[in-house]
Amino acid sequence: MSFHYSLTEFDGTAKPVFVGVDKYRQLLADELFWLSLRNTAVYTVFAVPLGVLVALALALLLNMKLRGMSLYRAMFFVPSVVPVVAASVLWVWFLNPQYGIFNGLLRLVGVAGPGWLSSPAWTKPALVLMSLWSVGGTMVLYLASLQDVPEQLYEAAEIDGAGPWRKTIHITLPIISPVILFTVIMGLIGGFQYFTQAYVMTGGTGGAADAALFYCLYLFQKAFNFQDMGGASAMAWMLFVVILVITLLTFRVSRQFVHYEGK
Amino acid sequence: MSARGSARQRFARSTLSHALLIAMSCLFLLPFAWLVGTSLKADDDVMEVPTDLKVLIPKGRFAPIDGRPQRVSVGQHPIDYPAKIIRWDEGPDQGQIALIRASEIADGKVKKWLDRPSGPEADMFPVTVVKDVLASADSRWWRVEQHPDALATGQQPLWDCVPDSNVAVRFWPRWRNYVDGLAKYSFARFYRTTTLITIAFVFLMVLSCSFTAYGFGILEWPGRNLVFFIMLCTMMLPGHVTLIPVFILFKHLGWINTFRPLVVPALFGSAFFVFLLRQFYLTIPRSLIDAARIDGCGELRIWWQLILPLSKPALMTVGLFSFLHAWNDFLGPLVYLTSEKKYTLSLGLAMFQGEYGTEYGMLMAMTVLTVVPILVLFFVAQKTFIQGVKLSGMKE
Repeated sequence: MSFHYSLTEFDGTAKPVFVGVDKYRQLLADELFWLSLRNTAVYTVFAVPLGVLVALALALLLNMKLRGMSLYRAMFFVPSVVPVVAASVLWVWFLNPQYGIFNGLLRLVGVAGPGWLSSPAWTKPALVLMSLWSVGGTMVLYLASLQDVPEQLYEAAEIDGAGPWRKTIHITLPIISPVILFTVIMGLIGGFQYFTQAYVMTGGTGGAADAALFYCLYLFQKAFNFQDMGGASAMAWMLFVVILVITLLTFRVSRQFVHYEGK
Repeated sequence: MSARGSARQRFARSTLSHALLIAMSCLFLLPFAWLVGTSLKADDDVMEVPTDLKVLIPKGRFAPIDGRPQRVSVGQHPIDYPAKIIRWDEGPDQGQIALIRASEIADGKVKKWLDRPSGPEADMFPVTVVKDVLASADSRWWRVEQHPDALATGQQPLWDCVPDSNVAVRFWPRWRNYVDGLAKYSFARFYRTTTLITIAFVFLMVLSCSFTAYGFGILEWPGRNLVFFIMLCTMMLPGHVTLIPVFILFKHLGWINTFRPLVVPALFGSAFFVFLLRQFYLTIPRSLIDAARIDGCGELRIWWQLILPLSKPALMTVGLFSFLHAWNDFLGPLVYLTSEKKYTLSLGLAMFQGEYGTEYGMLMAMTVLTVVPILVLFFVAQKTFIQGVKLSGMKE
């Protein structure tokens, strides 16, 4: 059905009119289409690796045997259960250039904070920052797999004189690499479908200079603001293809890095 | 021979780790503190440029006026000249109050305005001097905050001139943000709507998914694996691909601006939850099911009386995550609900963020109310949460 619509001129009410691949051709000539694709790619390229790093660092920290660990774990996990809309509304205010506490703290240490969501250059860093706040889910996954790493491997490495750093690089990371791959792929797929935060934080407009006009936001605008169901369907299918290609590429590239037990 | 060192080293290490963890927790919890702090602030307190962490604490300014401490706000330009507070009436219940330089009033008539050149023409009305203001270098013109109900009749806010040294700043949470927000934004209705939708959604979802999973996990029929595989393939499609055809479908059914598009799809289950439950059902011993069959149990009864009770942990996970989905869903309500009366919490919050974006106290109070049920749920069902995340790798 969706594919059929993507080949038509269709406003959602009248009968769809078949126009062949016109909609796809229009998209490829549409500057906003390319901008939204680029915005999404830039966001994903920063948010996913940084998210993995932060989640991994937290998981390694939280895997230590200390008193009160379950409390710490809960505290880092809690932000990820906050409803997305609520988190977005909260972050708009948190990052308010003038009255927000984040820039207030930056001023305290002598840094003049940027305009965040009101500045085209800082919009995406603001959204990436917000995404790092809710890495709790990824962190829990890493934590679970860290606990599966056999203790005797560490003991053997210690006997060989390996320090904590080398143990992490040569034992921990290879063993949990399949989980990391899984979260990277989920992150990529999620990144390309980034919508709610961008919609809420910019009031559905795409923000200053369209810096937050993400792919799915543009798709939504096409479908429900401009009543171009055909064009939106075409966008949806192109998104599907993009996600598919990126996932396959990631799998291919990952073969060199990911270690599967028993191979 | 342990390379881990002496007890003292261990103590130092654990102290350091705790310090690091506490510092990072504070960083992660800062947005929450900011949220709750702002939700209890009055408008004048919200619009204060933060210079240190004390800004997290909601506070009010109080000054002795008419013999009792009253809250004042919006302190304006220093009044370091002889001045008078004057009052006039433009009509019944239309009392006005203003500050004027002593030199600008003569014989009960205003000669020139100090702070409102284009204000109401007070010289048309008889003016009475309320009191003389003692000028001092640190006096300011303050608005005296009265109970909001007192202002409901169109009465103007009171103003008075108070020296800074008489103004005390103290902890003062404005709980009214919650009351006002619930009334003004009709959040109470959003709450009801969201709760009803969520309950219906979870109920239908758990029922339909476990029913379907029974067909894939327990029953045996030709072509089962193929159908199961096709169902799994639907998981690969991004939601945005199906969004438009589904929207058109609901439009043809005349379901736009009803709750049906948000609830009825639960009846058709979710490929992912079916998969999750099927995997769980596969771990249930076949002998149990065979025994039930020998005892003459029908398939429906086996499902209802045997499988459902046995799969409680998995059902809890499905229930919890479909609860989260329904409670947090934004795109669905955004697309299908067009009248404000039918908004859900998420949609309402997002819309008010755009419309009343400056009333941060109330906006944050409503955000707190959206978050709290989920947080309570999290702390009650922490284990199920973590289990669910591990099972699914889902982030939302």
